[in-house]
Amino acid sequence: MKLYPSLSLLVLVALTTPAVLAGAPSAASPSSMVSASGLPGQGPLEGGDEEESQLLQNALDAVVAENIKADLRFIASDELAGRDTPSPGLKKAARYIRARLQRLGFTPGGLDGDFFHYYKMVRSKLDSEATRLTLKSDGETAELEFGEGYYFWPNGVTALQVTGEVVFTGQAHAADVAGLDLGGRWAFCFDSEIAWREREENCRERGAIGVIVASHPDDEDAHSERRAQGIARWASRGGLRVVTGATDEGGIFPTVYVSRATAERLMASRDKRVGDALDVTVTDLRALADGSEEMVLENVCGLWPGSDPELSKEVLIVSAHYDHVGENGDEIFNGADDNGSGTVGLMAIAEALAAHGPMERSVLLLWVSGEEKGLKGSEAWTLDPTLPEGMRPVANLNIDMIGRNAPNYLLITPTVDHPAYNGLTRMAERTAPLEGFPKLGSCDEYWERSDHRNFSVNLEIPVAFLFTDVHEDYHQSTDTVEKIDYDKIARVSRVVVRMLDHLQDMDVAQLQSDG
Amino acid sequence: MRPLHLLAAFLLAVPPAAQEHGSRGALGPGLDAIDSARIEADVRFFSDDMLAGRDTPSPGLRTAARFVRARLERLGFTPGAGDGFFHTYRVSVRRIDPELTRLVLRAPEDDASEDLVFGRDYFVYSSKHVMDVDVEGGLVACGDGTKAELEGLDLSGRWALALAGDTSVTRRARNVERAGALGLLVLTGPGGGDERFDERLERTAETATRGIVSLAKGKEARTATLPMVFLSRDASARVLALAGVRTAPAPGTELPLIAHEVRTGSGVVDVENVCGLWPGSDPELSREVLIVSAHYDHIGARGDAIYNGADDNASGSMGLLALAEALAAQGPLRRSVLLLWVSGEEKGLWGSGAWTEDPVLPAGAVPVCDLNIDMIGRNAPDSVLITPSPDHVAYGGLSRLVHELAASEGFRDVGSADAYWSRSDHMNFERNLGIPVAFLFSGEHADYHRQTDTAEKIDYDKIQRVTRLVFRVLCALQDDELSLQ
Repeated sequence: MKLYPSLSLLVLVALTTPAVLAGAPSAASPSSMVSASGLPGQGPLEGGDEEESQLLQNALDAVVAENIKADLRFIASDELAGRDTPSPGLKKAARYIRARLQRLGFTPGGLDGDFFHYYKMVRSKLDSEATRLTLKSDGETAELEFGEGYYFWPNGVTALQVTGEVVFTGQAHAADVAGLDLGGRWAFCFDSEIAWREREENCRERGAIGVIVASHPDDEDAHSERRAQGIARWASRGGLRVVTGATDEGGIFPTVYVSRATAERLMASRDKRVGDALDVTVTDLRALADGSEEMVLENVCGLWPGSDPELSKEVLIVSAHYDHVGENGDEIFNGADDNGSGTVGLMAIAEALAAHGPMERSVLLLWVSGEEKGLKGSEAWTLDPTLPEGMRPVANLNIDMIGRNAPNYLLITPTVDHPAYNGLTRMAERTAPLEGFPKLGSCDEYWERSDHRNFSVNLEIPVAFLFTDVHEDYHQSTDTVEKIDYDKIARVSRVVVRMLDHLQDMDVAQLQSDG
Repeated sequence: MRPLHLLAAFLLAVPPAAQEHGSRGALGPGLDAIDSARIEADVRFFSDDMLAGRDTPSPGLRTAARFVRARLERLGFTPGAGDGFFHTYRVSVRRIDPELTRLVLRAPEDDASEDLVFGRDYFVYSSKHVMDVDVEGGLVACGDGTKAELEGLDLSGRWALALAGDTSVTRRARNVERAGALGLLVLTGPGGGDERFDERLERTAETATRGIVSLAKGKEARTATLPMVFLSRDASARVLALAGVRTAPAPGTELPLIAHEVRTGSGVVDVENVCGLWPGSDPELSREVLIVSAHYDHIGARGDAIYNGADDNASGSMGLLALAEALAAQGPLRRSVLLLWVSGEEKGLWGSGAWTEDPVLPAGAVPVCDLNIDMIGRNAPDSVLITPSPDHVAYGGLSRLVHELAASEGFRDVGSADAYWSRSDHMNFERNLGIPVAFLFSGEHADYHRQTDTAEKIDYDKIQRVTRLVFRVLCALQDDELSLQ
């Protein structure tokens, strides 16, 4: 008979990462040495009384790499068909998580005793015949079909017709558009390193009706004819849009991307200066095909009520998206790292809480869907949070892709260079070394790309995002379980557990000002 | 069901100490690990619509198997099927895949053709005609297909075209096959085929697209040797028009058409039993394996109607998972325990048949007995049915022990399930392995094999107690010597 697989693995783990053995009841365990001697004067890290540190130890011990592996082998199995939003595979994943929360004695975190928070999405298809971009100048009219020299992101398409003259705005930095009156006109700009949201915001503030983006003439054409055609093909599947009471259905601010050839038509000559009006009127006409389809999606919410009568009203949220990108023909995108890893890490955190017992503050574990469609699940929840009467969210920790790359490599955003920098990041920097991550790198460039963003923007609470970076299997059918570092998922999950332990009774107002 | 007074008297005769079995095997923390709230969470997953009734074979069944495997892995069980947790056997699925199936009739002269769609324009007559076909040939009219009409006709390499008429379908098929035909194409028109016939064709088409499943080895369901299709009234008219005639012409007339039919979708697939081994601690006794089994399949879905099978047998399947938790909490027993979730039960005890014909156990290990649980979550809380009962020829030490211990979990009303002796998987263990078996069952009910067998009707406390009873039996089976026969 074979050795238990868990035994052989534990031996390996012991050789590579001493922090994993923090759970062993030995006074000389590496983690306790670090926390006792390495970080003097760090308040919550000193561990409080013996009973409290025993509770934390129980919680850390409940995070077991072998269990995480078993869960991931289910979540990333072909039977779940890549967990597309929406899909039967996604529903299977949601029910698997729910069964675990029920077993562990969590309180349903949705409405009416339900573990699911439901939100609606509409799938709308473009009427590609009627959707077009029209350029009009001096008696000359060019009509471009969608995907023919221009495109827009088809996530959440709505019908619209926007017409106006065009002003050249350089790269649409705040400095570029300062002092410009873009009222009723399109802002035409070149790509730059600034985020699309910032670009839109800068132009919208000056009164623009929309943004037209092209690659800089000196750069490679990122919005080539071929790319436009590719996006048009993708759009033919239909775009998804979240429907909530809080969403303004009519008011989307259009951004269109144009190929170099189209840009040259707009510019007429290269030597335009910022603020110059281009001698052209542009109409962006988007029409929807009949028969948009409404669907109901699920976020899974497990509430772990706090023990303190006052602090329990303040809710610490830990989130991970459990959807992925589905399948394409016979090819299944299992998404073992993205975000099977965070999904099962969050399930391990649930076990840790169950082993710990109530914390002083309440904790909400939130598995969101629709992330791959544009952070839809977290958008829906943050616009319409389901928390029991009197409770309010105070912080969000988000984990997305935490199982790949070098064992000691972990990234975080917001860093000190980011405007949203806050005390959570400093806490993570102090805590992560205890779990074998000596130094955290920056993933500020991914700020817009996972769900923490919605908690920060819509709820205005401090957030931190833990991430082990992309890799060659990212969004490929090769993102599969055998490449996953389960011990790493366990250690990132323990970082979160340690942070929750600090957060349960500290002054959370301090987090914001810590930035 | 037989009256219970004899049995009750028997139970009363057992001293309370013997019922607790403190002497035979200690009950440790395992018993308390069997918890009704956890069983409920599991049953709700297992009987969810997303598992689509766990048909054999189906994606829902595979999802269910992986749910069980994940738990066994978490609990530290040893893979019980050699390399992994899945013991597989093969089933053949014959179906007509509408995507890959078509009948095209074309007039070779002028390129005109009729592309007929299965299930709308044409049908098969019976499930025997769900078979792989790829035949092409001309069409020869053969009247009603009687022997007299076929006299002297050579149909070799060609389709026989007949009008739906009085001659029996099978006789007609035999006649044209003897005359060498490739296949038989039957037109329905005025005078041929009534509405009931149409309905039958539609039903057959539905069955054919869903698939006809049989064990890949042994007695495979027979298929017809001659392809035969029935055209709808509408398609019949279109085909005649294409041929340029108004009614089926006289026998022997060659029609100016080529018919090409492709029918496919058949295949062989692997189906899984899930096996979790809990190795014993005693160097000698651990070679003796106590088996506990439950089937995890159900009967699937028909169109939109899903048969969740919460009692049949999510109850037993999830009871078995609770037993796995009990063993994990208890630690090793002296003997080894194999937990076996079998599939294909609803098709005819296939999974247990496949396993017992070719048991997968560690080298040197032998199966000792089987306790089987199937439908354990309904009816009166204090009643349970057991077979073999004292009236059954197979009654012996194992079944006596189950009877003795039943009261310790609150089952005061112990009935006989002898009528179900051949209806669940224990039968295969008895028949193929010759080992003692006992079957625990909580009885049929109005929701049996209906869509209404759902999770909210389940008595989770009852599943908990039946499972604890099984755990008590396992603990009582740890003496050096067992007399189970």
